[in-house]
Order: sequence, then structure tokens, then C-alpha cells
Amino acid sequence: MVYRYDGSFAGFLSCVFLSFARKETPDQILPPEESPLLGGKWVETRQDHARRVEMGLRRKLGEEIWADIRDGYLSCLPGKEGILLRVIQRLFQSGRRAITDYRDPDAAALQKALVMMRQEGHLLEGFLRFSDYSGVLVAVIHPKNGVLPRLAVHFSTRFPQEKFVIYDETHHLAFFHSPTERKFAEIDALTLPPPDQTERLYRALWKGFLSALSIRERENPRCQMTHLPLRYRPWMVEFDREEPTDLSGFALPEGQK
Amino acid sequence: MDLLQKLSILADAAKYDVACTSSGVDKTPLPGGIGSAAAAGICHTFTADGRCVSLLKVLFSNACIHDCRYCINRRSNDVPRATFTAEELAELTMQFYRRNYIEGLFLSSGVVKNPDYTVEQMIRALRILREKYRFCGYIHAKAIPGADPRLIWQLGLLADRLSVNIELPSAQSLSRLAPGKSRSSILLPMRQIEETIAENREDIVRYRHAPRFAPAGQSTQMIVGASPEPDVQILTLAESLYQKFNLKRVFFSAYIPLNDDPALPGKETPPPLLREHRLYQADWLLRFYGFSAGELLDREHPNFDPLLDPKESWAVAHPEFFPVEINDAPQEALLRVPGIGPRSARRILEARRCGSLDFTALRRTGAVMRRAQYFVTCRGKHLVPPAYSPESVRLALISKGKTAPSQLLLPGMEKALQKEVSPWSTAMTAALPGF
Repeated sequence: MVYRYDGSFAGFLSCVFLSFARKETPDQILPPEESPLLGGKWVETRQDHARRVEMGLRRKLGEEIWADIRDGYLSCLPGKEGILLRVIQRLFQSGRRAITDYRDPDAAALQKALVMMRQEGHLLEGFLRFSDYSGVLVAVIHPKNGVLPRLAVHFSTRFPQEKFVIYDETHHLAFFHSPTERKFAEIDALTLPPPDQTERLYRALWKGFLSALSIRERENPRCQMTHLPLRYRPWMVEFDREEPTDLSGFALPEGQK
Repeated sequence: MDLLQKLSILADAAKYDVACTSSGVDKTPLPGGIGSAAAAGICHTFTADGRCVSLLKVLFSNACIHDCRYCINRRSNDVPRATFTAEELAELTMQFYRRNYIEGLFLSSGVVKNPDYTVEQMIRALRILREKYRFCGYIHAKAIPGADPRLIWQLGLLADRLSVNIELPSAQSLSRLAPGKSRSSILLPMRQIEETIAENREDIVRYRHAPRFAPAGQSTQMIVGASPEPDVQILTLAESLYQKFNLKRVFFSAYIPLNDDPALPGKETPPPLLREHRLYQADWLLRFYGFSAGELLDREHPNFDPLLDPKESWAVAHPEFFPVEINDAPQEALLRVPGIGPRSARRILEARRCGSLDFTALRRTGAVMRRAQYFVTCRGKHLVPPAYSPESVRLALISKGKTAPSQLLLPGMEKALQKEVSPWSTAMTAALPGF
């Protein structure tokens, strides 16, 4: 038996609701992009059902496990919906400890996905790069997992006075922040103007700093690769190969406040 | 000189300072401020040598009055010199921080004119950052040995972490290689910082708004391979620094010959990177695995095995401790198994609450079976037939695709190791009541 749903978190929770209401366990729960065939049962997304499942999970299992379920849904674990449903069933049968029961392949897979997802979020807190476009900071990321909510919290805390945008190109989702407003929005593409003189100056300073910092006698690209995988690099200014900026005659930072 | 040249000179001059961590404190910005910090620390990029870049690590100035023989910035070297102004350094930090290039600032300096003047300049830059820009991100500042304690105190109120470099692993080497510095000029500020942090901790409990002094604690670093001390002495020193000075971290820096100096290894000597690596592995064992320095090395075994990591060496030498039964061993015992770390040990304990584990489940906790297999049983069963002797375990561990190291000892230093060198640790124990 296959459930099909609209790919939203509320839709997934509606599937959980239906599965518990009917006392049945679907073999798979598929979002639209993974189920081109019309077979299986279509589950309508219902906010009231989603809300009831959420309240039930939070009250009976606690906030920590609720966070694991939510983050697990944001992870890129293949077949995550089915795995999460089976883990939820086990949590209700055997109690909270089932979430870290590594003997259970589903719980172990979920834990592994959570580690990878949180690791990616943690790395991007460092590897993400903003560019200043006349006062608005813009960053583009390409994460495997849905880490934008986490990054939104991190950077809103860090830069409460700044206007900034983080665009997740993988999931076509953007987070907008200003001192007065925060919102997520779905966006198909983001076109950015070329960086201005000040932005190019700071990029050049950053690259200059890094090239001075590396110790030739210790060079070790394998080690660098382990810590900073190639897939993050196209979006980091220090790895882009634009031609060096001519900075002669340009005022130092004191001059441009 | 333009800012890019200045930054290149002062970053180049600071690069041999190994620590670049931003860990130890959780912070959120003050009202109207900018910047936060996470206790785990955040790495922002990695240089081609594989080291983490978390902070804008620069010297305030490299125009130093000292003539330490191992240092690139020593007075007698002909290198380009530069000095930041407090304003440009603060502006640069803020602009890098906004773009998320860095987690904060690591400010050190050569000694300009005298230690007090140098620290005053550093304080002025940090003040602009903290007060004008309301910067609440991470700041690591070097306390300059010999500076007035009142200046160190002010520095600690502005910085999250302070450090004093212990430079070399014995007092003897220090006086030989760093003539401008002395044991007491290093230990005094270290002791002052340690005591102030302890007092400050009490103040914060009593008065909610007490100013915070170096909330991310104190660290230090020493150069490995410039002087003849064996690993056991370095590790024992590190251990006593953790215990007696409450340090958060002790960093080791493999000596890179920068200066042609008869007192130091020759210029073609490769940096002892493997030795540095082994010391860090042992440092982790001290801090997170419940080992003591005396268990890992002793007079008969003064240096680490180049082919096995320190934990494997310990395990091979202690067959009586093994096998460890995964399903009933306490956490301390699990942590002593090669291939099991704090994370997998915690997961094993969590999973055990649901029932007993077999090898498949053990693998899922993240334990590295390639190493752990020789030392554990699950429900009384071995994964591989028990080994006949410690030597066969040793060979099995070595043969698992590890490369032979080349640089545990610097050429020509074995002879030097035979000589007795009075260790810091005994000198310090004797000196402690005097502080």
C-alpha cells in the first residue's frame, strides 16, 4: 500500500493521522516528485489533522523528540516519510528511548540522517558568505538538507540590525530578514547584480588574508578537503577565480563610513 | 602602504600562532549590538594546510623588540614591518564579520616599545569594537608577558578568551631560545588570569551584572621540536597546565625552521607534524577520555609510537583490561576501547536501555569496528578470534592500511633526548605557592 501526499510537512502529518486512524502501515509515503504513477492512496492535507498529530507528539513524546521528527523530515534521508512513521509507531509502543535504539534500522537511519543534517547546518553557519549589495546582505547556499530554518535562527540572532537574505537554491526557498520583519518565501531564481567596488575590496582583502595565512611547509589538500568538502566551495568567495580587482586609488575603510 | 599589504604582512606574521578556535562561550548580542558566539565554536574556512580559520588572526604590529631565536618576527630579521591603527583594524573586523567571513578577532602583537604600550594599543582597538560598533562576537586576545596586571585585567574584560604563550616545554629551553622572556614573566600573567576568572565566576553568581572576565577561559601554546624535550615531558606539562592553571586548551605547534640559527634544527628539517598529531591525540585522551599522562607515557616509553595512536598503544600494552563487554561495561571502560569515542560511547549507553546490542547495532552507533573488533565482545562473543598476544594485535592494527610516518624525531635529536632536562612541571609545582 502506498500513500501519496502533497510534499508538505502538514501533508506528512496528515498521513500519520490517517495511518493511526485506520490502524494501517503504508509501505511507502511518497511526495509528488517521487510518485509519477497514479496508483496508491492520495492523502488530502488537513491542517486540523496535522495540528492534532503535532500536539499529540509534543505532549506524549516531548519537545526533544518532536525536534528530531521535524529535523528528520527536513533531512535528505531517502524514504524519510516511511521511516519517520515507523519510528513514531515504535515511540508510542516502547516509549521515548526507542528514538536512540540503534538496534532498530529505522531509528538508526533517522539518527544518522539527523547527525548529517545538523552537521551540514553547523558547517553552513561558518561556510555561508554574505555579499553586501548597497546595504542588503545576500547569501546563496546549496544544502542537501533543509537547513534554512536553522540558519535563519542563527543569523537573525547574530545580526538583529541587518537587512539580509539567504537563498536556498536546492529547495528554492529564501529567508528575508530586516530589523522589523522576518519571512520565508518560495522563489524560483535569484539574479544578483555584479558586486560593487567596496564589496570587491573586502573580497580581495579576505583572499589576501587567507593566502598569507596558509603555511607552505604544512600544505595538505586532503586534510582541507575533509574539513571543507568541494561541494560547499562554489559559493564561497575565497574559492572563486574572478580576476584580481585593481584597488589602486581606492580609499581605505576609514574613508568610506 | 595600503590596507591589503598591511593585512598580508600582519596575517603572515601571525600564522605560526596555532590556535584559531572560537569555542568556550555561548553569547547573544546586547540590545542594539551585533554578534553572537557558540560554545562549540564555528569554523569559517580551511586553509590549504588544512587548518581551521575561525577568527581574523592578525598581529597588531610585528615591530617587535624581542629577539626570540625561533620567531620570524625577531628584531634581527629583515622582514617588512607594519602596524595597524586601532580604527582600521576595528573596521576591517566588522566588515569581515558582517559578510560571515569570520567568527571574530584573534589579536596578538609583537612587543612595540614595551609590553604596557603594546597592550594599551590592543585595548584601544578592542574598545572601539566593543563600544563604538557594539560588537558582541568572539575576541581572543594574547596577554603580553610583562604587561601591567591592571592592563591585563582590562584586556580580559574586553576579550572572550585570553592566552599567554608558554612558548617552549622547559624553562631551560625558554632561557636558551627566548632571551627576552622568563619563566615568571609567562607564569605570572597566566596565574593572574586564572585567579581572576575564578573570582569572576563567583561575582557573576552574586551580582548578575558583574562584568565578565574572559568568559571563554584561557589557553596557551608551545612549540614542539625546536628543543630536545621528549613527548612525556610535553604531555606531563600539558596535564599540569590543565590541572593547575585550569586552562581550556593547550596547543602544540610543530616547529618550522624559519631562521638559520645554530641553536635550532637546520632549515631543511621538516616540521614534526606526526609528533604534533600524536600530542593532540593524547591531549584529547586527557580531556575527554579520562586518561592521565602517566598512563600513556613514562620514563621507559618517553615518546609516542609512530605507528599506533596513543589509545591503541595503551590498549595493546594492557591486555588485562580487555575484552570489554559492550552490554555491561561502564562508560569509562567503553571510552578506553580504540574505535569508540565519547559519541559512540553515549550512543551505546542509550541503545542499551532498550536491550542488548550485537555487532550490527554496535556498528550503527558509529564505533569504528576496524579498531574496536580486537577489544570488545557483544553478548560474550568475539567478532574475530581472540589474538594470541599483544604483539599480534599490534601488527593487526598497523597493517590496516596505515602509512609509516617519517618525522617522529628530528634528525640528530635522539642524542639530545638522552640528556636530562629539568621539567617545567616540577619547577612549577615548587613555584606555585609563591604566586
